[in-house]
Amino acid sequence: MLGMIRTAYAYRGFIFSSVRNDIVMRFARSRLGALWTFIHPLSQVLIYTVILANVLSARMPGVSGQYDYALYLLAGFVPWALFSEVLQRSVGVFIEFGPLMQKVVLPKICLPIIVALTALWNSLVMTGLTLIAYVLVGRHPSLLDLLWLVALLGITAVFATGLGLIFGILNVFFRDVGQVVPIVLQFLFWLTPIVYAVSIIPEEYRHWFEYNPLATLVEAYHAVLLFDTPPDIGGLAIVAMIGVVSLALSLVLLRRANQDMVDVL
Amino acid sequence: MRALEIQGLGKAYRSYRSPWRRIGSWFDLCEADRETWVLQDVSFSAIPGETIGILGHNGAGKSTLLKLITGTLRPTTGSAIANGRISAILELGMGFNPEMTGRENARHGLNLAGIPIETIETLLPEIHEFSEIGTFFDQPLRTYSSGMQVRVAFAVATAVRPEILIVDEALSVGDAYFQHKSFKRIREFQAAGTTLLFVSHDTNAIQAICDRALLFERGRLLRDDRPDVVVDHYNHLIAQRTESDQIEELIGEEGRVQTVSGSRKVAIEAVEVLDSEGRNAEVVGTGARTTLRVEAKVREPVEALVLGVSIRDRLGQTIYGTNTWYTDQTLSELRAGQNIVFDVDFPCDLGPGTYSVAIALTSSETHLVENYEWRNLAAVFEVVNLDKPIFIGSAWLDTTIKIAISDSRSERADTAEEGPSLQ
Repeated sequence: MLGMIRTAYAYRGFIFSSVRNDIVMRFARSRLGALWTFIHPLSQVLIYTVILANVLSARMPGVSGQYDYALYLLAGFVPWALFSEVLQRSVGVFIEFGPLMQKVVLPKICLPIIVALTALWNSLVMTGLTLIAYVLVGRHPSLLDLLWLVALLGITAVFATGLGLIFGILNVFFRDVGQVVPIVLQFLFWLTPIVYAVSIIPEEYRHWFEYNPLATLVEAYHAVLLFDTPPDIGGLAIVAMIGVVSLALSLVLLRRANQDMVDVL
Repeated sequence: MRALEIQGLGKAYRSYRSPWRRIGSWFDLCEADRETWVLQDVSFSAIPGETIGILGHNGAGKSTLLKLITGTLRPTTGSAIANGRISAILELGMGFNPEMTGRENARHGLNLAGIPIETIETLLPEIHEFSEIGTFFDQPLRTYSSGMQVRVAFAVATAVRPEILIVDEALSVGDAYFQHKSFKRIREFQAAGTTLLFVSHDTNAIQAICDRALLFERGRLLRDDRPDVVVDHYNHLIAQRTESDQIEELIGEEGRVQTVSGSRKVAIEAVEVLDSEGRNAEVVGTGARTTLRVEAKVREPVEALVLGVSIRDRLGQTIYGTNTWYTDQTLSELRAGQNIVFDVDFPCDLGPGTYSVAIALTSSETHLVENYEWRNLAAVFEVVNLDKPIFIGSAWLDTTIKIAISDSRSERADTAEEGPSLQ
């Protein structure tokens, strides 16, 4: 494990340069640049707001005000975007870098780090723009809220990276994994209270959300950004633990599979 | 100290009945169901500054060997230990990004090569200068011509002198000027102690630049010897078509190794170099009339017989070669027991040095159709310059040099005056 950290440190130049390339590349030659990071989820928020809030006239219980549903959606999209970006890119990252790894000595540990850092950057941009939107409608987050956001960002990233790395390694050997993950993500999106509130679910089913770590994370974002209440610390601790355990497991897997991976790629 | 030490190196690809068994193998729960060996039992070492050519058919294990040396593949058995940094000019510009500028790509490439961060910025001006692409260096790569991309990629790959440099045939890209420039850089590295591994199918290039050559065949190191000897062996491998073919090596006088192959339906009995008076000659004067006499015996009836001759310099590069197919003298319907004498007459317009003769008896113009006998180093002779003005090079071109000197006053008139005095 220490060896991996040392390797990653030795390759920090490559990691940062790759992250930079990824960020610049995504919006290269587009006029709005990084704003697109925000426009994509914003357009989704708009769609959900129009359809769910107005057409289906689903009102958010517990919050009132004309922008509240949009704010609720934005808060939920921040962790969701981070989680799904890390997961989707991790699944294919070894295959994506396969040709390069066959030609150049490239420690595999660098790849998930690049994915995680790129996604974290995008998430920071999105969090920042979300906060601006909150300020614009007259909600001012406190310093404590910001600290909570940083913690939540970290927990989400660790959780997503651990999970994504496991899928990414398996995907080298079973390419079906790469096909399954987007489908699972779609289900997960609707099984997580992002576009709806837990309170609209019948009482007897609500406890199922406790088994969805992502629901815990999204609810924590809601609590910090929207409801001004401290998040469910016990739940978050469990998610953080799952994240650390899956990250450790994925690193063990990476060590064991290391040799086989280039052979198969 | 050795630059490269390779001991019992082998690589097997393991396959499993199911991917689950593969995952089991990571935790020592399952054994591989099948092993495919692509490289086996390779041992050799290289000293600093040595240039080693690597020859072999496609699929002989050359690229696997290189991947094991660079470390992208892990060996199944044995070890490949390199003392120092390895740089490979295999796929120039791997990992380059078309939207990034040359400078950014260079920085990225250096990072990827594991160059310490502190030195990267100091290397960039050198890369800019070496690639000679001017202001394009700060333009996105997509605006480059392919030649410009190669320049940057080569400059990046050789920005820091590696202890071991692997050069593939990829080097033959770019314009002639840059090829010379890049080759000069490689020579400088070599002089400074870089070990060069040169992979090529170009046997002439291997003989020209390598100190030693390795021949690979079916995943094994078949030969590790002087380049000319290995190239001969390689050519014989290509020629080896029919079952009856045998490769045999005769150690001649002075330790010369003759490689002989073929079906021996027609066999070479004697090869001699004769001077203008028909005497056996080991030393021939530049420009002298010379005869190469080849005596052959037909052992089994053959439909057609072509004699091929090539004269090679001391590095094994062919200086001149021809055969009786090109000269329209193919023999046909030969009976067993016939003796044939070929007298190949030529003016020995060669520069001073040692030359060897390779002889081939075949059924058509290449030795690939049916090879009766092919013999390298069938004869060796030395050329000395006895009566010509001193010159260099391997060819004697009967040269006349005209010289005109004039005053700068009227240039036109001078050309007319030049003729009579000098011719």
